[in-house]
Amino acid sequence: MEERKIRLKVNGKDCELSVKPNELLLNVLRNKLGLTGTKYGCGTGDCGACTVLINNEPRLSCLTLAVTVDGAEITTVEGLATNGKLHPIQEAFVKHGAIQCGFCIPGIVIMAKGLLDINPNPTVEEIKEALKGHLCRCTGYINIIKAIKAAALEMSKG
Amino acid sequence: MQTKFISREQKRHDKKGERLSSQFYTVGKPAPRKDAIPKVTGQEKFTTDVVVPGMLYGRVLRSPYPHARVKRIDTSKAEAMGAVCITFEETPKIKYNERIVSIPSATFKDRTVLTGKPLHVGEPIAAVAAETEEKAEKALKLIEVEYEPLEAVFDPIVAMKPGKPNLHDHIIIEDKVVEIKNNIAAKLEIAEGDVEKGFQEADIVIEREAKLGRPYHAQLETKSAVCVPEPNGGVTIWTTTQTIHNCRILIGEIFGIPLNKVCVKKVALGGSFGSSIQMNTILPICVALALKAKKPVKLVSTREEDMYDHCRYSMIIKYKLGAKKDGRLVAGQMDVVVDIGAHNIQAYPLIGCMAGWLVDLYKIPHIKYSAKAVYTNKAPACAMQGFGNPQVNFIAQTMMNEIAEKLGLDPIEVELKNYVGLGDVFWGQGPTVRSVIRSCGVEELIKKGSEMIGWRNRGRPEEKKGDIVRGIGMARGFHTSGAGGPLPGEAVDFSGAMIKINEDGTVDVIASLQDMGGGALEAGLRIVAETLGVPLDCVELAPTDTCTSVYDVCLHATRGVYVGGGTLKKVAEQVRQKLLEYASRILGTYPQYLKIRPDEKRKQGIIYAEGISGKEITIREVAATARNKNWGTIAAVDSLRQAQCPPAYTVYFLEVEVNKRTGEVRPVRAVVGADCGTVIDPIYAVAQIHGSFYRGLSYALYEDTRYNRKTGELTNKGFLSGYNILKAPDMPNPDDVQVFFASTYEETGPFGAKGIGEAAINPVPAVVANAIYNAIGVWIRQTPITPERVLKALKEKGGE
Amino acid sequence: MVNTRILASEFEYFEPRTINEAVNLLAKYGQEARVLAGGSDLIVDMKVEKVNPKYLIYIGKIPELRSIAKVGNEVVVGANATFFDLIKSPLLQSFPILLEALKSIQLEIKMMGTIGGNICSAAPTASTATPLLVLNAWVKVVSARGSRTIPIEKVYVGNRKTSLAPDELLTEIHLPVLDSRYGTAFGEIKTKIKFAVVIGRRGDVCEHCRIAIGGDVEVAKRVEKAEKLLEGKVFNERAIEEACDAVVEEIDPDNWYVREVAKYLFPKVVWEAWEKAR
Repeated sequence: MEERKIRLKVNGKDCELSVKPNELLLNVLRNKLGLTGTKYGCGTGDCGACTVLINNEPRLSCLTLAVTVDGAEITTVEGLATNGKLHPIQEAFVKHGAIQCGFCIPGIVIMAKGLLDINPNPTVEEIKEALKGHLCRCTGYINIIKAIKAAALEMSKG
Repeated sequence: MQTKFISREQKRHDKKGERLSSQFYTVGKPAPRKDAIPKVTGQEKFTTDVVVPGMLYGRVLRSPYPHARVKRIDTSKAEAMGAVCITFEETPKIKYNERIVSIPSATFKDRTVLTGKPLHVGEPIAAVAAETEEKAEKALKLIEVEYEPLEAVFDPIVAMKPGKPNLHDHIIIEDKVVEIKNNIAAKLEIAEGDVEKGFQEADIVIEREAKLGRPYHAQLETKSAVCVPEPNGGVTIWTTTQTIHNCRILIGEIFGIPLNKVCVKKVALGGSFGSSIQMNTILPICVALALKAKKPVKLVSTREEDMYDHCRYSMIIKYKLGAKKDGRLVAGQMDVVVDIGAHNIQAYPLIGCMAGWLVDLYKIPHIKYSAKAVYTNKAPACAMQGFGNPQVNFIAQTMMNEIAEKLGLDPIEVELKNYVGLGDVFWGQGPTVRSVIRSCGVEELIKKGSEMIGWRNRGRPEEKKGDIVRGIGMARGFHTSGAGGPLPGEAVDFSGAMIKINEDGTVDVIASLQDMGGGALEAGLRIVAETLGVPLDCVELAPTDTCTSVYDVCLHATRGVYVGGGTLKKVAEQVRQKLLEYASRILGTYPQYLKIRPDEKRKQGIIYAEGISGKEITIREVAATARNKNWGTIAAVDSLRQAQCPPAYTVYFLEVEVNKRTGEVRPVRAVVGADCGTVIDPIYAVAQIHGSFYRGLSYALYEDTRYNRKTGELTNKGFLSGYNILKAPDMPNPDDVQVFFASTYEETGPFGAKGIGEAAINPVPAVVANAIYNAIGVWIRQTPITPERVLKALKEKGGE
Repeated sequence: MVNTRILASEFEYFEPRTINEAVNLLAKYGQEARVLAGGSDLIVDMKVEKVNPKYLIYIGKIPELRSIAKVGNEVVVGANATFFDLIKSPLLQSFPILLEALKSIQLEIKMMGTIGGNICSAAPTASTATPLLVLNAWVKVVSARGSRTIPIEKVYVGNRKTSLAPDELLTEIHLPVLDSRYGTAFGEIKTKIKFAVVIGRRGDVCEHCRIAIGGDVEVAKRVEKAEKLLEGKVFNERAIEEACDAVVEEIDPDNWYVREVAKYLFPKVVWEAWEKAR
């Protein structure tokens, strides 16, 4: 298959890449850009470990062909902290004990960012619903829900 | 009963002069875990993230048949395109058991790296490696295999019948060939007292059967390995494992490599729940590929491959239980048939442990237990959180509730009459190891929990009207903290660690103990900081591998804090002793008069002579002086075998909502009481309980791997899409899950701590069934308790 | 065993910028081509080798396919509008059952999945199927041969099978604005069963009724027999029971559980629609 040139803005940085049409965004991020925070969990859209923001929308990078996002802005978990300062969502995850094995965390943190962008003050029910596509086997989601709720509160303070 | 309360209070005060829990510097205080930042920023490296220059990607060719013989295999086309190929014909023929937690005489060896006689769909036959995953995939498709399908057997009861295909004619134990008959991989019979006499004395006898499903671990990180062949003939390995040292021993044995040339690096593990207690199937395949390719190879399982690789033991349990009118148990007889799948990873220790789980739950004077573990053509079952304990607990705790109901007694009252607690003999992980229980918070947990949930107002099922009804259940469980005991036993259970003081007063902890995510090592760091008297900031886990660390058996059996943490305390005490000696030389005091306190501002431990002003010095100054005066490094290395495995207890109260028209069960509120001795970190101890509660609910209500009896395939083909699993929307809200701890102190544990993890899952399936009974008046003794099964049970009840 | 870590299948990739370009490509490669929209279904199907197209035509770069507009008494939705586009569109707020049916979709799929893709998957469990059926939606399909319109119930012709020809591209979904007196309701029990209902009433009499069934059935469809049993009748328990029997007939008799829960869910959904009708 012939490679195509695509331009992406990944975590604020412009990059130009050559990709085959069948290359998944997940593998481009991990293998070509070394951004291994985003994970493969199932490959079928059932676990959410590969969630990234594409033009600020949480989407599954394991079901996205890299060629289709030419020109897009991508945010991965590596791009959330600014100048070495954790994003309030990350702060809340650390503080509320929402992290255990941590493999699902990048996808969940990124999803939470996308959620709070469209719904800055979600109810517990809305957070639970948004977590529906994310498999976390360690935490029972309880501290994750608390962390997202706390982050929303913190962010609303500005 | 009263004595138990008195003893608990006594235990709060440490006999050996340790501080009371309120006086701890670090232990018991919440602090963010050290790996939280790398994990929340995506910088933590898991095996799947390891990249080595020039590495190839591996792929495994797996059997599409549940039972077959490979008649012909041809890799020439794959090799022609430049792929490195290995088949069962060339990989080592040595039989091994991937789990070596048990001693050799209790380790049943029945598998090889690759096989020409696959025993389940998904069993590895051959493997390839190429420069990219895409190329490896193409090469895999070019391998030609001709199979002779053989008759397969999926039901353990059928598998034991004469005339059925024998999966294994023989296996190896130590170096002896052992014949296998009727697919029975292991069996065990135990009796205490006279069970027939016991049943005659009973006022009530009930006999029930439970069927427990076959959930898959569904750890987020699929099994992965990276192997680099080294110029000295050795290998360097990163792999998903709960035990780097056991992986090293096995790789050395299989490939004939001296152990000092097998370096297994510790790397973050994306969940496990028992599925990496053994060396993963793919690790020796990855090593074989790397050795043949003479290049590094990375092998990451797909989710489908992973789901064909491991699961929990499914089983059928029959239990006959007799009690007196007042609820005291007199006799019990349990018969178990375990479906172990295609390989015997650890069926023998499993059925032994289950006997322990049975006798350690209730005091029953006359008891008889028999178990058979049977091979079938399914994915091999292995350890999964609880290791047979949730299964035993499910039937025992639901039957206990049923007996209480039948006798018109409160289940709590019956529970308190029969439980095994303080001062009682404890079988630990099996009948061969017995010790005495020295801490127990059961009564405290039951009393407080029942008040918090509103136990008295739960009502009776027949009083509940409408389509949607609620019920409250109670169940109690325990798990051992580790697998130690006063005698050597059949399980290897010791840990080792090295701790050293650096020249600036900071501390390196070199521990091969793994962390599955629960925070065992974080707890370990708190214990080190507390023992040394330094701020937590000063203590770091050093990157560790098998060459630079001492042996630790495995992170399993809820042993992380009690055994792993206990070891770190032992080693840290030796370091502290040395520190004090050196400090006394400098200060001119006697070492036994010196104390250490952490100074958070100076980020130092301060060694001081209490009450004598001017006699104090930082650890940095001591360490620097030791260097400058050539006294040597302040360090220690040691191992610890715990001579007990004290039970951690949990009591669950759960409220469920049952829709009688759809059979749907929704957990809505829970109160969980836990006795883990001293709580090392209040946030993460609670988080451990949340996780176990969640996995228990999912086990009880959703999860099962099912097989197509014609093709031997999983009905979901290994995709998560077809695997029922509890997701966030079906969890109770955070505010509706309350966790509290008993005020116990385990004198044999580090700063009074025991374990917690598995204790917190064991009673969950039972509490779900008990709560459902309280809602709808029907006992369901088959997991998962699906809406279909609930509705069917209701219809059968209605038809009576 | 397939490898879901990568997309192993190889294909020629096209990125048309206009509908015309797209249909010309379909005219050329139709039989061996697939239209890629959000990808949440198609990429999975390709990974697991359920389909193996030689040509992949990505329609995400055709702006007009993502528009939502009111035209006369209809809301016209571009086939490539995502579920999230629908949820946030002011124009779609007058179709609460459609939005209700989208609620249970996970957040990422709301962002990726498109209404056109959902229709073309023709899965009986598809979120939009039952509401579109009772809303009397119709679709516009375009090919190099011209364009045609198809009522939604004629689109779903079988399990995961549509009536679209291989060279046809679904471009628009037309949603007639409902009479404001009509009551609507949607209900589902996980993947087992879904119902959407539209009811018009006069006093105690059910004047107009549309019922659609989806979920664990062969194909999502209208249940005309049940509709007729309610229409023109006094709306009461007995009439609902008869209609419910007709609905349950649509479910495989071996599927006893789905039949049972349908008996529970269906009356709830029709009652809800009835109570909302004025």
